[in-house]
Amino acid sequence: MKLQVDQLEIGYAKPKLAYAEKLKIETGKLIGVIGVNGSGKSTLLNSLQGSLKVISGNIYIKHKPIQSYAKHELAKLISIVKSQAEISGALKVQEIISLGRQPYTDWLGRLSSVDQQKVDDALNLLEVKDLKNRYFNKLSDGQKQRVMIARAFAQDTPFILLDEPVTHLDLYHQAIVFDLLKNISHQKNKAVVFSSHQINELLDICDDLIIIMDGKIMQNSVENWLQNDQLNHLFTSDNIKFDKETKRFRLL
Amino acid sequence: MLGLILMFLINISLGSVDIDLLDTIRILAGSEVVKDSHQYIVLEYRLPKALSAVVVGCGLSISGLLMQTLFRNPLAGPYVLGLSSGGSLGVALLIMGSSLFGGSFAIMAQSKYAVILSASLGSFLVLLLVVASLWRVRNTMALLIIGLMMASFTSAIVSVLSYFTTADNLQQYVFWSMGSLGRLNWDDLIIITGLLIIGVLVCVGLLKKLNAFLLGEDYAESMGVNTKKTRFLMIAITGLLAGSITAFAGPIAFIGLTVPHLARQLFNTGNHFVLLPAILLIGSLIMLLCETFSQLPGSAYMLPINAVTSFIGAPVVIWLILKKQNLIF
Repeated sequence: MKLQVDQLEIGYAKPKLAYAEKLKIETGKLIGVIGVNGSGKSTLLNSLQGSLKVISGNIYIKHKPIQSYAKHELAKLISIVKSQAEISGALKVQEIISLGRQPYTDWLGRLSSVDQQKVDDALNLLEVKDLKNRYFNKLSDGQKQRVMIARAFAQDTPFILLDEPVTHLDLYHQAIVFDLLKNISHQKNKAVVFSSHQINELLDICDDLIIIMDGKIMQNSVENWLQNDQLNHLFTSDNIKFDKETKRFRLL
Repeated sequence: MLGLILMFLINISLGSVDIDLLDTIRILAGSEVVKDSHQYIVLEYRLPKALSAVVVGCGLSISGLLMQTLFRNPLAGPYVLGLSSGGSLGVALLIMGSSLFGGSFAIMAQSKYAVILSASLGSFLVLLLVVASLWRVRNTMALLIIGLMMASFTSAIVSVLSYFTTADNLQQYVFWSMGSLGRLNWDDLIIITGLLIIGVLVCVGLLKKLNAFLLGEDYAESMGVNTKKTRFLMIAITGLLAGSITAFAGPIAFIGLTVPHLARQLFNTGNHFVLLPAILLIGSLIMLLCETFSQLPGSAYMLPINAVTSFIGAPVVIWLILKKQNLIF
């Protein structure tokens, strides 16, 4: 399945924050979103999800504009993981992940056997099964992040959008989360789009990179990005250079 | 549930006139009467009062739960929408303002229904102002602050009025502001029970969405919840319940804030499917308990109900915080 973007202008008000000529987000791909602070990463993710009105242009899923989907239909197509959210501490991990099934359950929110299976799958895949009876406010940051990804996974949507999923995590937990995202996209055939500042790691693990630079949103495969020179201009500072040999940004 | 029935009976059997528990049950059951005066006291005074306690307890608890879920803040309660402060302002203007304007106002101020009407109007207007600010601010935390500021502002007006009014009027206002369940007769009771039933039914329809709200509005929206509509309904129910209760019984503090926390602690969950029945039960129980205390069993004196609920509510909140080192929504 594909999510396509055509001549999109995004931002909270005019003038626009950034412009995308074309974007193509396909299931089975891990796509990183990169840009300096304030460049519009979150704005892009919110726009793609449909929670933020775009200034102009269109976002299509299955060739249908996302505004034409009802809320509960869209909830079966796109799930999100926020960078910061105040989650009720009175909920258990299992309850939070079960909430991901809301688009599929009846008005009482009862889980069918299929729903239960999806919740179990999410608990297993994100390795949070041992935590399932713990309360959310008793978890570490790394555990919380995994639980919220598990919730999105349980929602079973072809598209998962994550806003800076590793920002508050140490290197070890960053590696775990990146690995999980890769698994979800490649093995579970989902389009996983996530923003991050860990640019070096993204070059290693992602299939595509969406880079927001000077108000332009550009998508390319990682190989193509490595071949052209644009990465060098990502940061305006002379102190940061991209080294093609090691595929690494360096502080000079 | 059993405790609730027992508490209900105990509440009815206690009061300034000594009627024993068995007699009370006999009167309620409609069997042969020992004393006509006892029957009158039980059926026309104590029974509506006890039922009012149940309805008020339920209504305020629902309002509190909805506000805590909406604002995702453990300290939210019906008052954040400015309902009780608006009601107080309305009544203050009627009772104390009437002496300033004189004339027909002063006569009107004596009528019970004028008080109810002005309290409703006051609550409604302040609620309207708070909701109108929803158009401008999307942030619920900002709305919480607006509600609190509105409360300070109205209480300032009330202070000014109190300063200039006569002692008699001030006393009348202070009496109202202490709240009383004894003011409700059967007709009033039917009105607020009807509103409570509407509130509970809408709430039942919202339960699934309320659970989604526990993750925040963005997550709720992404799971297919129409957050605008849900938020509107939550505010509407709270306005309806807390507003009408303030109008009929005066301001009653702490029930809306405390009961949802007690339910969360007792049942160890934030799941609204568990919390709704739990707060209805706990809310009625606590309100009956407060009402029983306020009658000062064995004496002819009455304590103001608003003071009793604070007496019990405030220490309970402190106790919960000390026990859990935290309050969660």
